[in-house]
Amino acid sequence: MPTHDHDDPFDRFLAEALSPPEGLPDQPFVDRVRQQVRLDEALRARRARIFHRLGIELLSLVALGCALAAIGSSPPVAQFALELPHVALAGLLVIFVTWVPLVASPSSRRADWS
Amino acid sequence: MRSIAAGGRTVPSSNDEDLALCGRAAKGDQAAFAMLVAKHERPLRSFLARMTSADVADDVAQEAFLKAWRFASSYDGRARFSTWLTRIAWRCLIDEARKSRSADVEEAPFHAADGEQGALVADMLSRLTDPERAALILCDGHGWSHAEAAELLRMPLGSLKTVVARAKSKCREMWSSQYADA
Repeated sequence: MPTHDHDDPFDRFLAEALSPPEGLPDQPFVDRVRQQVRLDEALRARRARIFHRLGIELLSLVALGCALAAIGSSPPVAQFALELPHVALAGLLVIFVTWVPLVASPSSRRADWS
Repeated sequence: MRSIAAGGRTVPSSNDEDLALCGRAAKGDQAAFAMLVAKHERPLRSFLARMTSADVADDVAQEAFLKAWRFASSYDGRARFSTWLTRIAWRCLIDEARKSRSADVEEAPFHAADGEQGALVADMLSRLTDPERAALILCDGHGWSHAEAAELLRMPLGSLKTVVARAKSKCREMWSSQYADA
């Protein structure tokens, strides 16, 4: 610890002048920090929810892709796909790919339950 | 009264309460953290206000508290909580100064206290370099050990002692001349 000669008027003056102010805490400042902490927590929770949903949606997409590949590899479907004109096949795929997110979107789920 | 913490460093036993509160804060207890803020805001803001303008000091203090909240789990009690917190605030202050410089903002003068004595102290401190000012305030005003201040300012202990002595000598000179004039 630093040594101070408190008999020395300069040392006394310096210690008094530089010491932190005493007294009750500044409540508005404490409240501001509390508010920031609450906001930070809310943001963190929201971020976590977004990442969680993103993870689930990615997983769903992968599962969907695997399911499509499995269905497409079965002989009757593969045969049907071969006989179908390319344009029609592409159209079917586009319809399916657009329809899935529409059905899976939260707004559509809310509408189903209302 | 002092107790020995992990790592062999001596930390006052009065820090135990802060360590417990910080542990609770790390588990998400916002009320415990508010108690830490209430306990430490005055010394921290007073130190920062001597290093920069009062407005910047408050912004930096808020940012430091927010970072302390986020990283509360990393506080292990090896240093006093106030030392750990001031270290965070010091880094925030350095970042703030860097941002101000890159934005070409004129460096704000540090807060001058009211009254004749306040003006004299402000004048004295304005003639010191940043490390001299920080070291003098912490060691002579806030009761930090030289080792704690050396760690904060990232300088060897011997250099820190020299910096404090030089700062004190400059201030003494100004103080003596003020009283000789009076």
